[in-house]
Parts: sequence; C-alpha cells; structure tokens
Amino acid sequence: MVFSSTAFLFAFLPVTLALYFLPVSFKNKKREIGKKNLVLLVTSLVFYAWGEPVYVLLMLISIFFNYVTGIDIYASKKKGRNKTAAFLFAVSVAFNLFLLGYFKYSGFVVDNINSIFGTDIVNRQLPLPVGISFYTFQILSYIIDVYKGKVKAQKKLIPFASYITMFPQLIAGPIVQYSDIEKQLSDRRINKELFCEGVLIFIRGLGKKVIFANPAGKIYTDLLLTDISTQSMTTAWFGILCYSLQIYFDFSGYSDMAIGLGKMLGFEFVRNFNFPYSATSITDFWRRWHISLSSWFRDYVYIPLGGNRKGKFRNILNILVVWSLTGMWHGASWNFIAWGAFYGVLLIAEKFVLGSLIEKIPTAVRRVVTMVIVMVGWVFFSNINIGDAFTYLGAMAGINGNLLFDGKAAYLIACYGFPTTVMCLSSAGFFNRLPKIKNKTADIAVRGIFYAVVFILSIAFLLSETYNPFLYFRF
Amino acid sequence: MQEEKYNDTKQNTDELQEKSFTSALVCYALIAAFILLTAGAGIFTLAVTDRSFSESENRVLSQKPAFTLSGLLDGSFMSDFESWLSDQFPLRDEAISLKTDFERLGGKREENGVYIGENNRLFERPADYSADNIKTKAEAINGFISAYPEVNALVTIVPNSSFIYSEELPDFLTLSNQEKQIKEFYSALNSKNLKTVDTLPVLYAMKAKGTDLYYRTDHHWTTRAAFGVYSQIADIWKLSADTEYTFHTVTDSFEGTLFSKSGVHDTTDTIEICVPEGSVESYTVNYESLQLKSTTLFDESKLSTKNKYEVFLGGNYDKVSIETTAPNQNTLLIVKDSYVNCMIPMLTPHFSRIVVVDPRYMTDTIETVMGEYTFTHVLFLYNLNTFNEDSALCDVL
Repeated sequence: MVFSSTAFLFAFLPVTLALYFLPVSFKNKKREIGKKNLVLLVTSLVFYAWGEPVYVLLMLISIFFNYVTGIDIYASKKKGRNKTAAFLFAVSVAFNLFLLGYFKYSGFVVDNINSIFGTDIVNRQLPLPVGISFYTFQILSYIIDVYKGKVKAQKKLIPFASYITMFPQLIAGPIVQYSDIEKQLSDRRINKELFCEGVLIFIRGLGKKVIFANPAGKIYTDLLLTDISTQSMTTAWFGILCYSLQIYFDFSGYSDMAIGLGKMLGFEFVRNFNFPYSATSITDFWRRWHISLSSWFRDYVYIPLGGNRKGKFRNILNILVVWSLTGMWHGASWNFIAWGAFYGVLLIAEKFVLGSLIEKIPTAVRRVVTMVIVMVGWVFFSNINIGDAFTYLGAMAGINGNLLFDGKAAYLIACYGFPTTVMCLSSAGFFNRLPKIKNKTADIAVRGIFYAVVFILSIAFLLSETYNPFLYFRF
Repeated sequence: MQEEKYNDTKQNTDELQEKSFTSALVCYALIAAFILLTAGAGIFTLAVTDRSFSESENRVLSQKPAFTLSGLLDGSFMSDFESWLSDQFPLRDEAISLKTDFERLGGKREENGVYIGENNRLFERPADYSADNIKTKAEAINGFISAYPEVNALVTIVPNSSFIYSEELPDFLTLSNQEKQIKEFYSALNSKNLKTVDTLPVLYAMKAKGTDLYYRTDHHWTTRAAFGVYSQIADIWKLSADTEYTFHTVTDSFEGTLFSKSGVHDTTDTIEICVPEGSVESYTVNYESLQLKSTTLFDESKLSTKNKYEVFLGGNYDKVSIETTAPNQNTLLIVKDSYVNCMIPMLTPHFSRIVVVDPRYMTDTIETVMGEYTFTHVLFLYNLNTFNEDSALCDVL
C-alpha cells in the first residue's frame, strides 16, 4: 500500500489509529507500549501484504532469522566467543545481502554476464519485493551495531519485528537505524501535540507528492515521448527541471508522510531532507539529500573502510566505492552506477582540488552551479539507457543546432511556468523564510486554512488520477 | 562525505518545523477534523449505496468487492477495494473538476490529451504524421482505383478543428500544418479516374461567415461543415437534384468526446441534422452485420444517450447499405470514418444505392463489396487525424 492512496487514507489509517489508541493504561506505561507495538506490527504486516501478499512471508523469514542471529551474536560476544560471533555475523550479513542481491541484482548480473561473454543464461529475476532495499539496510544497521557492541540485542520479538516492519517507513524510508529508535521501541512519548504536528507534516508530505511531484513528473514523461534531440534547449532544461522537482517532492513528500505518521504514533525519525536544492556545493547537497541513506553509507561502509584516516589514496578509493554503491542502491542498472560515480568524482574534486577555492565564489553563484550539476545528474538518473541520457544532455547543450527557444518552450512555460516557479521557491525553502505571523490566533487560522486546502486538494488530485472516461465513441 | 560535519542532521530544524501547539483546544479541533475527514469519508462511502454508473466518465463504476481468500492471495481483492473506494468516493466528480480548475488557474491548458482553447473550444491532440504511412495509403488507393477504371473516384481528407480554428488554440501552441499534410497526400494519388477535394477554401469561407464548423466539445465537424463539403462533391460529380436542404436542431445538450476525455465542462454543443426537403423518395437502410433494417438514416434514441453524434446512422458499422428510390442509376460506395455519417442524408437524392463501409470494423475486403454490387462512384472520406492514425484501410483495399 502507498500513503497516497484512498485505501490508505480512508480505510487503513483510521482503522490503524483506532486500534493503536485503544490500549490505554495509566498505571503500566510499559504494558501499554507493548500492546501498541503489537498493533503496530499487525497493521504493518497488513500494510505490506496489501501490495505484496506473498513477499510478506519473505520479510517474516528475514525478521525471524535476524532476530535469532542478533541474540546469538550478542550472547556469543558476552561469553567472549569472538570467533563464533564473527562467524554468525558474517553469515547474517551474507544472508541479508544475498536476499537483496538475489531479488534486486541477479537479473542485472545475469544480463551483463550474457552480454559480455555471449552466454545464454536464463534470466529468472523475480519481481522486486517492495521496500527490500530499505528494510535490508535497517536490519543490517541492527546486526552490525549488535556485533560492534553499540547496541544490545533486542530480546523481544514483537518490538524487533515492529522496528523492521513499521509501516510509516517500511517501503520508502527514511532508513531508521536501530540505535536511533531502540529506546522508543520500549518507551515513547505519545501525546496530542505530537499527534497534531504529525498530522500537519503528513498532510504537507501528501501535498508534496500528489499536488507537486506527480504533475511535475507528468510534464517530463510527456516530453520524453517526443524526440528529445529535436527539442529546443529551453524545453530540454525545463523538462529536467520538472523531473528534478518531481523527484525531490516525491521523495521528500514520502519522507514527510513517514515522519508525520511516526509522530502520530509517538516515534521520532531522523530528518531525511533539508532543502537540498538550496545547497551551495555538491558536498552540501549530499548533506541535505536523503540524509538517512548517506548517513547509513557513512556509518556502515565509509567509516569501516577507513574513511579519511588511511591516507589520500585510500580516501579517494573509499569515496568512489561508497558512491558507486550508493548509485547501485537506487536501482540495478548502469545508469544508477554512473550517477553514483558522477557524484563520487565531484565530491573528490571538491574535497581535494577545489577545496577552499569554492568558498571564495559568491553563494548565489554556488547555488546555481550546484543546481545545474544536480540537474545533469538527474538526466543520468532518469534515463535507464545511458545513450538516451547523452541524447538528452545533447539537447540541453544544443549540439544538434537545437534552438535556444521555440513555440513549444513558450507553450510549456505558459502552461506550467507558474506552478513550477512555486515549486522551485518551495524546494529552496523560500516559503519557510517568510516572516512569521505574530498574532497567535491569526497564525493558527492561516495555517489551519492552508492545511485544510492542501488536504482537500490532495484528495482531489488523488481521485483525478483514477479519472478514466470510457470513450467507446472515440471514432 | 565528511563525517565531522554530519552532527547537525539529527536535529529537527526548518524543513520539519510544525510546532507551537500550545492550545489544547486547537489540538483537539485539528485531530477531530482529521479523523472526521479520513474515517468519515471511509465510513460514508461504505454506508451509502454504490453508484452504478458515472455520467461524466461514461462508465460503470466499481462496486464493493466481495472478500474471497483467492482474491486476497492474488491481490485482486486489494486492487478491487482501491478502485471501489476511489470510484465511490463522496463528491468524486466535484473533486475531479476542482483539480482541473485549480490547474487551469495555474495556467495549464491541456487535460488528458485535450487542449483547452479560447471560447470554450476543446481540441484533440493531432495524431502523428508520417510521410511513409501516407505514401503507403496513397499507393493502396491508387492500386485499388486503377483496378476499376470505369468508376468515378473521389478522395476527401477533411482537416481538423485544431487547424481550422488554430487561432483559438492555447497561447504559443503550434501544431502540425494539416494543409501541407493533405496536399502531400493528394499529390501522391495518381489514378486517372480519381479526383480530390480541397475542402479548405470552402471551410474558410464558411468560417468567415461565422458558421460553426466543428463542435466545441467533440472531435467531429458539424453538419453545416459537412454540407459545405457535400456541395463541393456535388459540383465535382455534377450531381444535380432539385432538392432543397433544410437544417433541424435535434439537441442542444451535446457533450462530446473531448468533454468526457478532458473533464472540462464549460459548454455544450448543438447538433443539427440536414435533410433533403420535399423529396418523395424513401429508403431502406440495411445494417448487414446486425441483420437489421431501418427506414431512417437517423437513430433518435441516441439523442437520449451520452454519445449524441450517433444520431447519424446509429454509429459506425462495418457495412451499411442504403437503397433509395432516387430516379437514377448512380450507385455510390463510401469508404469512411465517422465524419461522413452526417453527410449521408444529403447524398441520398443522387444515388439509388449507397453502400457505406468502415474499414475499422470490416472483416471482408472492399474488393468483395465491389464484387457484390456495381458502383458508378466511390468516395473516400476521412478526417486527417483519423486518417493519420488509421491502420485498417490498407488491409481492406
């Protein structure tokens, strides 16, 4: 199930909230949380099974396996059996990576082997289980932290299973590290203020997704249906701008919804986006974009590889490895690896070559340059075929003698210039810098109306996606 | 990736700021509103009787799904549930209009492949033009017509609203030059006994006089426009009949395909029919595949349905043959799309038999039809959009 669906908003969510707030105990807070965890686990399984009725079993097996090995690793370490612990740890990491690799990358690997060696291995890739990239990383964070002694093993199955399956972040993040949420699993603050805050953040995320991201994406996909090499440069740039807005609002909207739902249930998740399109360098961009993913790679790949502590050469290598993996995490295809490596190279350049030079450039210029680079990155990200990406870049650069501007560009801007401007300002955090309303009542009224409008419009946009006129009289 | 600079990521700052709920009253009001909207809409949808049909979308709506174990396992229960909830959602039609209006306010001028022009005029997005495709069709027609050197053949490709009314298109939108496309096609036709009709001068002249040539909410031309082109055809073939033609309005609440497709509900159209007046002849209309005979070229029952254009000939059929009492030996084969449907009544005084074939629905070839009857005249009539899209014509020739 996805958040931006009528089934979630008008059936799953109200029922889940009703069940979740049913157990109340003033005397025994622990017990109440325990019951709530059970509700959370059961509803999360329903949430997952809604879209993946079979793969829910795969997830359950994975949870059970890691639950048991987590306890075993912890016990072995406690008893000083470090070799056993290391063995169990290796098995567990291998198991998790195998599942991810099998479902996500086997088709890609087989296709590449076939094309390189001219072999004819049958590609038996199964459909990708939703959220496997996210929950595998969450499980790994737990297993690694247990092995490293950073956290205790979770002895209770229900809190552990509800950590993995927790529906707010199950299928699109943020990637919540176990250490961040360990305490909240047994003791958390659930109150009306947090609930309200959650509702508003959720509505905001929903609006980002259905009012901003989906229509912006439609502009880009419509453009890709045409022969892009013949489009004017402005059209090509406008198209990739729309895609940039789509991907940001889609992803950050989904994160907002997750964070909002988390708050409604009493969880505090880490922030996942911090106005990435206002970044002043690529390094800055990655501190602001999908923060939970880059933190994960930093904590569990970059630092264990030695980070910047083993000399310049190793540092450069580490950055390249991490960024190729980051790229690959986004999808099993060369364009994602290219996209990751593109950032790896840029980050190395900023770190070792440009360094303090960047600081001397005016901030506004840095913002624009960063955004242009990010948009070029999205060209690779959005075109599975790398050749298509270069065709698109060619149109942006005007290498086929593309006009700078034409009627099509004028039409696109007349139709979509206003909404995309609003989206650009919003993505750069412009509206958050507006002066706050001083009068408390007025502030509440303005925000109340704003969120009511956003929620109602979101529902309208959501329903419109199912508008499906039957034109039997098409001819 | 500089680990030392990461320590600020776990604070909730700007992007997620939504605090200051100091008043319990505001809190409870917000929670109540949220629960009321989500749970309320869900319960309401569940409680009220399902609508069975949507007028605006012209389709049967999904009904409450029955729960079955197999439906659960293969996921069909879930997708049925979602389409039920979306289809039956309270104020669904209003919500969809709200979205369309909101986006138009922002400047958007197209919806679901339909351009929203000036004066409430909706335009179909033109089909892709391919020179090769047109050449193939021209060769097929050349080959076919050459095989019947004694017939008078006429090819008429009618431009679309988006070309004739291009000044009413959304600002800056430029579409393909249909005049050029039609000319290119005509120039590829080379059979001696084949003529073409250049409809543009006539259509432009009518437009200048203020005649509505196309429906605003539908992709068809009006009966008036068809009459203009009929007059050209009559001139070329020297069809003369002492017939007066009169127009009658049959409905003023026509909401056409573009209306449905776009969901833009700004206006409705008027449909007129044109009939040869005072003519004594009667005719029988034989819908061969339906094994149905009729004595009229109009199906008035269609006026009470969504698709009112089907008043002409009752819609599109593979083959309809019309016997008239016209006092001459001329016989006509029409190979067509739906544009010709409103013109057929105008042609009846000139032909004792008219056979109308629509290649999109045919299982026979046109050669078979030519073998069944003798024709003195053959008319190909298409609108350019359908003609560019069409893939059936070459198969039947």
